[in-house]
Amino acid sequence: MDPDGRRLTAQGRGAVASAPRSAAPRGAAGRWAAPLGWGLAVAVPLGFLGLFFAWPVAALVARGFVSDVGAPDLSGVQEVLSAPRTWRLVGQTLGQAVAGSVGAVLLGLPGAYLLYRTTFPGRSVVRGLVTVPFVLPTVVVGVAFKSLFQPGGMLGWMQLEETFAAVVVALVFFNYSVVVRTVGGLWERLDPRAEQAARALGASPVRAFCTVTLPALAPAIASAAAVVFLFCATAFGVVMVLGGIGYGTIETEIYQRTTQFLDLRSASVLSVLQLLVITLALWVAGRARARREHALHLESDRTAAHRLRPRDLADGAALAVTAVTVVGLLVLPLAGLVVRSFRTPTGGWGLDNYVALGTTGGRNALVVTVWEALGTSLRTAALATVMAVVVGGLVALVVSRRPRARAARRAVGLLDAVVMLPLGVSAVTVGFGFLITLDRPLGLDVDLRTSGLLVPIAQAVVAVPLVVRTVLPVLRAIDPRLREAAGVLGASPGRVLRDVDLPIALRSLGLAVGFAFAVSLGEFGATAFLARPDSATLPVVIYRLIGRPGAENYGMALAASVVLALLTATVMMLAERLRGDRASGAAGGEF
Amino acid sequence: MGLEVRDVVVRYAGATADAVAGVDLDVADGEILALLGPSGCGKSSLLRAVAGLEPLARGQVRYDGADLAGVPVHRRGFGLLFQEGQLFAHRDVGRNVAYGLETARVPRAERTARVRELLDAVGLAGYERRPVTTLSGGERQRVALARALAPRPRLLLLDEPFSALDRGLRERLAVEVREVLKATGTTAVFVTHDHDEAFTVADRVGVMQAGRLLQVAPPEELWRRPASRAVARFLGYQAFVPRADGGLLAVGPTGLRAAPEGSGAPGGPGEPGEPGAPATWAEVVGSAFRRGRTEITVEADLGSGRRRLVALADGVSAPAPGTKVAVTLDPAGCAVVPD
Repeated sequence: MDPDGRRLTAQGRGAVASAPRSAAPRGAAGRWAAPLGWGLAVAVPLGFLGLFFAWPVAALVARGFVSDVGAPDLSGVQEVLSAPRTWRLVGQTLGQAVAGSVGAVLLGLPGAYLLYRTTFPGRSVVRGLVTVPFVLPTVVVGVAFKSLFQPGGMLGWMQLEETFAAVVVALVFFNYSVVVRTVGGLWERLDPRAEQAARALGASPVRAFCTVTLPALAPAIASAAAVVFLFCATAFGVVMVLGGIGYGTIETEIYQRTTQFLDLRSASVLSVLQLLVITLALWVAGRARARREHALHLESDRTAAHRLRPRDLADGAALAVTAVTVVGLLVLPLAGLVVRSFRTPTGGWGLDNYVALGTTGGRNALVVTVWEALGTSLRTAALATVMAVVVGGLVALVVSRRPRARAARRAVGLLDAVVMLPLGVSAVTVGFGFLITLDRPLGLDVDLRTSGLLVPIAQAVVAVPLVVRTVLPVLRAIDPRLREAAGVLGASPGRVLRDVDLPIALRSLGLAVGFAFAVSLGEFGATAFLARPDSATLPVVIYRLIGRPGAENYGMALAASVVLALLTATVMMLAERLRGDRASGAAGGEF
Repeated sequence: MGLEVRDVVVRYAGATADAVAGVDLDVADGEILALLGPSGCGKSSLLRAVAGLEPLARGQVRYDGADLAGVPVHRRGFGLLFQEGQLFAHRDVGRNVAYGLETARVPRAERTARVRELLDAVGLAGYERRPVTTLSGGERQRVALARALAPRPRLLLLDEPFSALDRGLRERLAVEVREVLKATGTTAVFVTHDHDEAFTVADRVGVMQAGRLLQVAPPEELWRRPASRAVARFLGYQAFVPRADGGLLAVGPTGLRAAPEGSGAPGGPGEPGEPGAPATWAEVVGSAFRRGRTEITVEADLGSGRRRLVALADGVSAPAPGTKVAVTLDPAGCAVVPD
């Protein structure tokens, strides 16, 4: 019996006893736990990115403006800026980025429509296929297109080897999925009734699309285009493998001036120049993203896909364009790569190239065997993933909060922007910065450069923004009242994190882990700088093999590329399975 | 003792006016109080402030005499029910209901028993293993209610719990919620913008407007004696006619009747607007048949100028627009409010 004697009976439904809870006073430990926890959650990522990103990059920037004796000196700047070669490189960089983004957007829009606005058997397979290039290592993509375009290759008759066009085609291949997923994610949830209303008011399908749908999609298109522009402007592996001798961008020039001419001063001036271009692109992307989050209010919750109608003009055109793109641009290079990898150096067919992966290549092209490099890659990527997920997860957690105080809200917004910077700052710049700052960091007598930790740290820096972008939308989508409901039911703030945020975030964390691992596996720019020959990773080894003469080495490069591609694709597939269906279009390759 | 709210002010950053502008309120142990008001009147903000989800700019919230300042949400021992239930999608029905018991470290056996007891009470016996995504809107709200009640909250706060549901279900649930709250002896504050819901569920109803609490009274008294013109207007009183004693006669939604045909022409001017006074001529604008009765919209001057009013026309065939009918005031549907 209830001690209060207030036991009553609800009509015919059994009784519910009531002994009211009482309020418990807050303990002294509880008062400090929350600020301490959040302080750590902010300090760890800031410390990590400050030490391993901001400092090296800042030191690098300073290099360009200070003379050898430490006095301010702008002669290096003047020298670099007055060289015609610099402006030719800037022109090539911008041209390549503009062509790459325009191509990706033009091909990506029909793809986004087909894959997110219509349904057809096998759609999820095609969606998965489209994602593959984005996570493929740049070096693999370079090798795949090289084998396609070189004399005797499937598209050798086009005479595109070592041309601007070849680089642009490879960049479009890479970034196609960024446009498809970013634009498709918004298009999928766009309320079709606005377009229907326009049609009812007398607009033709084309007019309704141009006046209603396209403006609604504009923020997503702008945001995707800016990100693609960024990736294209800082592309390194693809340009190194495909560009050939007369071709270069700011990114490859930085690498060459540093490693071949040891001209650190002009390399750092170029880095600064690149930073400027990139900051501008990031700023545009940020503004577009802000507008898109604004535009979300126009969305409906349910998806508005219809069955594919091939006879319909719009559906038919989208189908045709996408089919040609997917087969010609995505499947052909990858299939070509696989087929050529079975071509033996003597001209026959067989597994010779794969067998040779256990050697160090013809004329000892390598210091380690390819399998050893694979082992190094896996170990490095695992370490990098742990770091990236911890740092990125903490950042996502902090940034997903909406503090009450305006200053705190501003700080959270700033953190959001700052952690995106590694996405834009070229990996080569990061690697270069590591070289000049981390020999005796903070006066400590340790040279991180020889410790083997440097490569995973650099890879983690590159992967952090991807982890944040994968986890953050999921955390942000949690209705704050869900947390309040848990709080009212007696869950402390820490417990709310465990019981509400964590289970929901975990599903996206699987994808984040996959992303981080795949990106680390394929990372080339910073790793090329930092990895020593005896601890080279798979992409570095592939690049080295491509650069050496001999059919044997070339065959090994193809086989190693297939192995790396398979490994990356497997990791991503596992990660996609882990994430479940909730994450919708928000996760993965959308920025 | 129950809940005591003293001079509470809630202020949002950047807002021009206070969301809650100095409210005093008492809710006795075991009482159900409804806060009624239009959207944006501050009723939800007040509720969230009581729960500890919004900081107080001024004032005090006390429970059983103890000031709750500095007591965080999860230690107040209150329950909260939201509009869309906010069930945890990654837990099944039983684990949702058990959540508050888990945080209170109730032993498993007791937890299971309590969950069964509550699912039974809300009419969802045997639903323990169901995923919450398979439930209908009404079922979700019942689970949310069971979840909120499971840890035996000292005070249950309900924030427009049925607004997302359709009308029939809403009316049924309102009755059931009152039964369950009364059966469990739970003290509750219920926020709604729906008059019928407030009057069905609550022992007393408080009317809020622009951050202020205008009147708190039992439903019958609130309806019969609105404390002010603002309260009366919010409750649906449609016209206010000055009286000789300086007060206003508030004409309720059922306070005006069309006189049966053939009852004669209106008499002389008399005392306008006085119940039982002679009828007035009114011009018909339109008519509608609602809930089994004919309601006609008329234009008439009851003594406060010509305006549109709704009159009940029982036993009168709906007159065509433009015709003149005689209308009289029905004292049972009118109230007197101070000017």
